[in-house]
Amino acid sequence: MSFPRKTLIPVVVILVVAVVAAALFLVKPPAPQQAEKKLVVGTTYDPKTLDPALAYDIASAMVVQNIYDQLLGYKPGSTDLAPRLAERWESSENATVWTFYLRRNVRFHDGTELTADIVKYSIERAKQLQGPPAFLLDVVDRVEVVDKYTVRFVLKYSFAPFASLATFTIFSPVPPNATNLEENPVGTGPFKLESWKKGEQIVLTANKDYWRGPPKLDKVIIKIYPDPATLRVALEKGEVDLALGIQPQDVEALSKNPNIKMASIEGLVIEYLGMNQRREPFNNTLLRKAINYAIDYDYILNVVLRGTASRLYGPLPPAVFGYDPDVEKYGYKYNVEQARKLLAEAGYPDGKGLRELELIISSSERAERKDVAAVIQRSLKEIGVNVRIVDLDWPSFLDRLFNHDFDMYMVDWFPDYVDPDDWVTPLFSSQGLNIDGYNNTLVDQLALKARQTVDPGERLEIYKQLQRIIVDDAPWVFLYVPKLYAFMQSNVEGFTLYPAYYIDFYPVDKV
Amino acid sequence: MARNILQYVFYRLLQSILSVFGAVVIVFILSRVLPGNPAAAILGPKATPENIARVTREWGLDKSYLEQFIVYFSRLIRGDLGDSYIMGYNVSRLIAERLPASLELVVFAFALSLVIGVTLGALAARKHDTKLDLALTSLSVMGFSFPTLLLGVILLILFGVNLGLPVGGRLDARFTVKTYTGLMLIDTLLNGNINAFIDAFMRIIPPALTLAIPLSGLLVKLTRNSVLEVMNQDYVRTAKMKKLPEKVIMYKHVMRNALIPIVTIAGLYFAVLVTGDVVVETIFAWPGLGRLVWEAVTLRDYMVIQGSVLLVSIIYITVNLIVDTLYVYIDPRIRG
Amino acid sequence: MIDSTSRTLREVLMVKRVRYGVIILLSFLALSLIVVFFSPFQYDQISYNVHYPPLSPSSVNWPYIMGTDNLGRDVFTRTFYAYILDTGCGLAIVSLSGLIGLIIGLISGYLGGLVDLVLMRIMDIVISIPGFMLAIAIAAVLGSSIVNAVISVVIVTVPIYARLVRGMVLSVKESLFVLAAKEAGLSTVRIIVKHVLPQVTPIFITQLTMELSNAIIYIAALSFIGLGAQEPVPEWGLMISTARRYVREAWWPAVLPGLVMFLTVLSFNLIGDGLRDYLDPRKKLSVRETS
Repeated sequence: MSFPRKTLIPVVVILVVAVVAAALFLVKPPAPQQAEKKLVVGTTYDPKTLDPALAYDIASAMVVQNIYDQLLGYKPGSTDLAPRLAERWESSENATVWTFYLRRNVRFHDGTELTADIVKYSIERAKQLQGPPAFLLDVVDRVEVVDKYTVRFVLKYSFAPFASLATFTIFSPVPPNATNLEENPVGTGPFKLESWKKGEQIVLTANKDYWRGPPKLDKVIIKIYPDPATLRVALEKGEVDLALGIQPQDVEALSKNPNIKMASIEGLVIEYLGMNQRREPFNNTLLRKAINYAIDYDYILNVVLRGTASRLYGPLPPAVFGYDPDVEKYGYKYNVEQARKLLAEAGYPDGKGLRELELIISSSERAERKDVAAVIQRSLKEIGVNVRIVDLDWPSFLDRLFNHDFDMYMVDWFPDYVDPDDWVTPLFSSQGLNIDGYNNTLVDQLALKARQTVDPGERLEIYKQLQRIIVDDAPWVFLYVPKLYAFMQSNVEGFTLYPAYYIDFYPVDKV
Repeated sequence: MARNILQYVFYRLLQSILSVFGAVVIVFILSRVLPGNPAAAILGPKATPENIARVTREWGLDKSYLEQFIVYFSRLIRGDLGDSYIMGYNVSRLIAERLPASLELVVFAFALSLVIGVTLGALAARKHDTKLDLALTSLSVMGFSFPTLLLGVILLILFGVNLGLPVGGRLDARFTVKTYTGLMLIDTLLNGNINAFIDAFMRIIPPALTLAIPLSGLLVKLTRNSVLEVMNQDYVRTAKMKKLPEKVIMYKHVMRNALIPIVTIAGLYFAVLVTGDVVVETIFAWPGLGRLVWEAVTLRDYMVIQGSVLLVSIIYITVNLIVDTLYVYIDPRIRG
Repeated sequence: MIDSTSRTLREVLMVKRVRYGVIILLSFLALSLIVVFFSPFQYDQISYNVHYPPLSPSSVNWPYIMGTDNLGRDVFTRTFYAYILDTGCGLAIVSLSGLIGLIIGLISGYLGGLVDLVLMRIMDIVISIPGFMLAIAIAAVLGSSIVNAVISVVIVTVPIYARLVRGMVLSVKESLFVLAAKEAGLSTVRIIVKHVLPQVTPIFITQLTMELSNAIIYIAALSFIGLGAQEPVPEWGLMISTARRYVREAWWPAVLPGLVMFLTVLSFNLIGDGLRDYLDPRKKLSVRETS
């Protein structure tokens, strides 16, 4: 073994340093030439699969929504349903039979024409694959082909929100002869998959034969920035045209940036603090109410979240059908005196006799949750309730939830379909997930009645009643509804945010 | 001598296979000890026990651990790492997609720190107890004392915001570059796109510096101490007394022996670096192995965890093997 | 006895690096004690009267000398509470894993053969397991807290010492005085303790102090990715992880704890480095000879 000559190493060092310095200060790389209209979308999440039968996370949904079409869609920026692959739809009196009339001359990327048979095949395929979202199809008993362009869903029970469900990505038809959809997705949508480098980027190209006309963009490049701070830098530098997943801390600074446009909308995701009513001490309603009064909501909304969320007063967010604005009057507000009084009435004057309570969270995807938890911890300490925060990774957190091994937990709830039923039944009915052990037979009955009622007026009344009962029982601390944000370069036109986090690149243009 | 080394390597190789098997078993058990499972992780809080049970069955996770291990192992010896539950892809493909990014970053960072570290370290030793030595050692201590977490954040802002240089990811998404090797610095050149090369080169600097600053600090100190140590050995002093030229003493006697601990530590660090640094890869949007393992663990994607830890252990054990062989080569007295 | 101890101490402090290290160490320790006993704020105290935190470190915002974080908590108080927690964890880690690694390395290196083979292969396996995976697994068994982070760091760092000590033992083993001791029929344990250990000690001590710094960095890293200390516990990694999200608007809640962490790590490295020079028998010999 011989060691390199004495002079070699310093020379190499000097060379490296010189090259680095030169690169840094002399050469400013020219921006890439752009012959095509490319939209670079920066996002913090990496899609997991592009098969609509398996996709069940917002990042995958974002891509699937643009490669495929679903039976129904939303009107721009709203939660109102709009025709998509189905031109119109109707339900039987008791909401057990749903008929969808398909648009004609819709073709897949491979040229296959969309027919009722294909819709039936796609639904049955998804049911058979048993991917993560397959449970959404549990309500479907069978799919019938009425004629070439009419498909009928026969449900196992009355289910009024079924039309909302038909916007979910699992209702994307796939051609029967396509194989390996995870890698080679074939849809009817405005874009086709060009390439996918996992953890790095996805490139979509325009489907020039799209049935609504070719999209305005030639390419959409979805680039993954796991850290929102880096995404912000990329946006400010113009490397990213559209940023989805900017964290609340950066909203204020970006909204003041003259080069960047902001879009925001009230969301449907709710953030709440659940309490375990299966065991001491939260089987005590008075204690739960005391906790509800003890938390400084304004501090959370204004200081921690910087106004990027609005207050949640009851089980439903304001943007969903069935929301009762009166809840803002009768819901819980910060009131330490009331909290202390109720705490004493509950049998724990100044927290005496109360053990240290465990608050479990999982902050990996929403970092601000840690801050909110810290404020709650301190708020409760002020009235003498001691809380220990435990931040777990997601599967460990869920494991604790499903085993009912917690005192309190904080999490957000993403609806699968935009109907109050997807909040009330799974979260508050004892027939639902029943994570908290909340049990009120009246709530159970009303929730069931509401899901079977077709008439909107009647449903609204039932949901109003439900909100009042649930708030009075205080099974949770109702925290907040994060707003949705998108930031883009000023030359990006036509992008609309949807409350249901439906991401549509079809109308987007770069001018 | 050569035959002995071959024998030694062969012997060690056999042991290494055993170590890799041990790592496979341990990681298999460990990943199942983690609470939760991939079905629950992907279904989220809305999952009913029935849903979880159904997806679990679909993925064959309802079988006993032993059955699962036998299935896994019989596929493994045929060279099949299994499929990711969540992505549906074969694990070897997932790893193959991430490995070039990791390698590119690590080799870059490692070369940078090795050159800086060993050169400055040797310099400090030769000029020991001078002002230069003091300056170099102080710098080195500061280098490896600096918290990487903060270093990454600072470099991101310094390069990206203050200097206005490209940062984050491996290449500006607006460049179209055909993939040949997966190594961006080489691919951009093969594409003949010099602008893309400059862009890629600038993007690798901040994450590479984040990894290299502490490591070169460490290597400076290590090299200096090691060289000093050897310079005080009897045989070096004897050589000095024999009035051999300083150059000869330095390279023939000092550096050769001083390299032993440097090779050990540097080898270990290389192995650690290759496995990826979650923090650096997250901050600089670098699609490397660190994030793959992290995502796999946080989604309980067992096959991906097993596959990537298998790779890590193979890399680690290979590096160790090389290090130990070099030991034997450098210092023939050591042979177990 | 006391006399010789104080003399040794004085000699050690003669080394400049050690002196600077000790100065940092002592002043931080003093600041921590002041904070624990006299700070007007509790470490988790949210200052509701502050209108729009984070407050910057300026005289206007007295007594928040290092400003507040985004929740209005005093950065100074939290940073120096964290000093106690982080260095405490670091000390616990190095003493545990150093001891285990030293024993394994001595045995493995000195005995060689099958024992060496088995131990070193186990070390290979341990080091190829990702540290954070171990932390999650331990948290699952013991419940989540900084203790798990400590345990997992201990486990993953043992191989570092074991391999280092083994390597040194291997080179010492064949040296004349050990061979002579063997010839003289001394017991294995005696040879290890009397002849091998002193040879190994200097580099081991250097490594130990260096690893104390590494342990602090490691613990902070685990907390940084959410696997160590939990809110509102003041811990550097956790503080930096939270504060880095708004570092562009307010640098102090991330940079100041980071700076204190840097200086702390630096102080241990300085002491370790200086200590090494002092402890190294050969170096002293050479100094005496040349003087």
